[in-house]
Amino acid sequence: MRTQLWANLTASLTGGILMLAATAALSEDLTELSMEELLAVEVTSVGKKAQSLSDAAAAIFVISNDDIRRSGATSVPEALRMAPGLQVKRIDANKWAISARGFNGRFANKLLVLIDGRTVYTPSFSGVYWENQDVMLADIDRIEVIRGPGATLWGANAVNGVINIISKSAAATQGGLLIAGGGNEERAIGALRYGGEPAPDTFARVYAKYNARDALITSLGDDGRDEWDIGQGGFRVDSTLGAGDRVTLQGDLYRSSLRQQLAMPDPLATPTFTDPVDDHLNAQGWNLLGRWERALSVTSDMALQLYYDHTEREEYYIGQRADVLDLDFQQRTKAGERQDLVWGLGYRSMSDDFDNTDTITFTPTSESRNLWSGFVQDEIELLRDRLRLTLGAKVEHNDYTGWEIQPNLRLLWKVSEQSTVWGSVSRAVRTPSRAERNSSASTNIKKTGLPPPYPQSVLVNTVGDTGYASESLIAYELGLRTTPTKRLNLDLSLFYNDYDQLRTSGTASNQASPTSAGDLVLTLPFANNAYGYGYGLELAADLQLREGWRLALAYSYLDLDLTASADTLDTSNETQSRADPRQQLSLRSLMNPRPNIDLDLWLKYVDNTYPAFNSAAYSDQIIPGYWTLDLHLAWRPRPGLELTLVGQNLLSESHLEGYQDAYAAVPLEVQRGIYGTICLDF
Amino acid sequence: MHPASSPIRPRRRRGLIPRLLLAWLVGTAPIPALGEVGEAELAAAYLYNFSKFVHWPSSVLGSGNEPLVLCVYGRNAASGAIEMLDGKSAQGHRIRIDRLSRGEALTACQIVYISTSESPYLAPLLRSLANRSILTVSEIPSFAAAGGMIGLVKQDNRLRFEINRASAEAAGLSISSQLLKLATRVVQR
Repeated sequence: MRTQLWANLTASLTGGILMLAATAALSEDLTELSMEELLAVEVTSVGKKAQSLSDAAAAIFVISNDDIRRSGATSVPEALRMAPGLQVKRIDANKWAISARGFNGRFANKLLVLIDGRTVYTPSFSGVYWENQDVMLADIDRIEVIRGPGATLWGANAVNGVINIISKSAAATQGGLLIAGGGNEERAIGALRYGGEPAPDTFARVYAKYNARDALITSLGDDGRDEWDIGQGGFRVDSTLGAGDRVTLQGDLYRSSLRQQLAMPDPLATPTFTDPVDDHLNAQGWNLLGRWERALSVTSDMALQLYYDHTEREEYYIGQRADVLDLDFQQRTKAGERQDLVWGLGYRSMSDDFDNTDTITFTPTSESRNLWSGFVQDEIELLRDRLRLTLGAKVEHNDYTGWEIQPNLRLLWKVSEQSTVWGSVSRAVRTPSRAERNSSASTNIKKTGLPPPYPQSVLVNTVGDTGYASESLIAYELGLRTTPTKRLNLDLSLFYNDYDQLRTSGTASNQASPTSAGDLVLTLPFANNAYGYGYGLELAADLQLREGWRLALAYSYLDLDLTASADTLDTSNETQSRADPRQQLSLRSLMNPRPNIDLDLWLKYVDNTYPAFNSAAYSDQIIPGYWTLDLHLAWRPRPGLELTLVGQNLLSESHLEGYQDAYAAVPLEVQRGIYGTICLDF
Repeated sequence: MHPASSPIRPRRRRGLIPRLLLAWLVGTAPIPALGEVGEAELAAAYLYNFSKFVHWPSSVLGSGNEPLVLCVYGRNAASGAIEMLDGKSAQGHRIRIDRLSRGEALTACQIVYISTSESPYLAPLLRSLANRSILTVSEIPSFAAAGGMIGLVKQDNRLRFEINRASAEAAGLSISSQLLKLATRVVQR
């Protein structure tokens, strides 16, 4: 008993002395410390993030695994709200609209999203079904959010930004992890992962997860009838071969069932000309990816990647299946003293198959297309460790518009150890989607207001056009990153985007023809008759207020001004240019009152917006600006066990963020939510 | 005209919550304020310690006045901090810091700190250094397992290290037992 006490006392005394020694020495010089003392020193990680970013001549924001965990987000879209320059709207329980630097909407098409090198966009509309990108958040290493064109490296559709979701290597996810929980909005949260080393230098993990989410509500407080659930599983194997080659094989499989409320156009259903539809839909998919990386010499390496991605989605107005096969080769090599050269070749085959309905038809119903690409980028060190010039271009050939060239020029100047200034000029294009080329969609029905025998209603049909070309952008960017003190990082980006050949529907060649029922059908083909500009500012600040208390701020300002040529009837560019909030703010406070307790607050502000399209009943109604507050509380009573309590959207009972862009019924509001989880490492 | 000194007027109570919050903030402050330690400074301090606990063959590092050359290889965020070691002495030699970029010869170095930016090229890099009496140190994940000598690894916000004893011995370097004892893992193959 007494010896036990004595041992405890000496142990804590020694510990205390070590700590004190470490503290005393810190103010002077770490090199004075002994090895044992160094082992006890804690590192602040705030500086490292800035240092690794200070080398990039682009507007990059990195969301770390820790940022995701402490945000309380249960999905990637919710975590993205902390990044500056991104617009995120939840438009019903299972739909998010996400874009960078504007043009947001359910079918936003100027943002490229990759998960471990796999493009997750849907070829039918060039956008992302976010609800089905349900990666295991605990196994994400980081999410890189790049605003501005990334087309030179990533190709067409990386127009306004790129989101790179990068999962941890299998070696970094060894052992078991179990997460279970639920709440009033997050009805069920479950995830299980196990990682092991099946052979020497070969690491593997398998995982499965399930989420069920409650419906939103209408402004009257009625059930939004849009609840949903998704189950996903997958694996990853990373192996280092004898010669130092690294091989990765990974795959995922998911199935989701979703519910949505639609208002479908119907000329006989007076006076609204819409029929309500309670749609239960399924979406599923799987993917398999292999990557082989090899060092060719001390200054040259290559990577070869092949993936296959299958998705299907059946909903009331269209059924779609898509298969993508993508092969990508990249080599990096040092050319001379001061140049780093990267070049690559890519091939992608896309095939789709549609189940047409009375509302939407694709002709032909199935099609295969090829995309060939090559790029080269040279990083030239003009002044060693000071001034770096990056020149590059990507050349692509697609079956719709032929050759596309997307060059960029970037300059990075390291003013001092603390500060970096960068600037860039780049061009990017968004190539046409399948819908823009050969679909026909009955979008809405308008009353003519004329007395009989004149037609009573006009059926508006938006149709694809084989003459539809790529939208293009020339972007000018300027950025500053600085670390005025070790506790503060500032990252400021300014941009001016000059858009041309933007999409419009309806031109002087609009054709109106009568139906047998005596209504008029107005056919509006897609055309490239709009242009415009966007400019804005994004600021990210990270302040380590004191040990165990960090503040992270993101502020965005955006102004989009779009003009359609005079002969077009289309007002969608007008509505699109007000669909994004002019100002947004995210302020996170991440506090550790004790090392085993997280107490985190997240305050967000989003300015007024409007729906992106003007085809549905509530499309003209403003979506008021709103403030929200989230709370994340975590307690780790012992290593390997974490209890979490999260409150979301705490400031009001519910708030409106967006409105469905296609066949929307009534607007739905996001509710206050509370959930808890248990997280066990084993 | 002197309301502040009026004895009748009760002192206005400041909000209880802000005061509690302040008290709690002050009260919970960890005693050593370690907020200023960056990973770069810590890595530099480790490098300095390694230079004292590794023994080079006398053919490489004699007893004369020649410096102990520590090379920082590749673009590295810690290079600023490591440069502070320039001129310090270890085992009777003055430390000299050389910044080398990708592809430059490493034969004049006694210690090479390999940046994480070089991780794609690690295998040929280590092959080119095999059996040379050069201590290799890096923060590249599983560096020691890949054949590097000392790998710095981050664990719970602390920097630890792993040692590949076989690689060091094959290169004719002897690592002090004290260092081996403190390593989180010693690779023998």
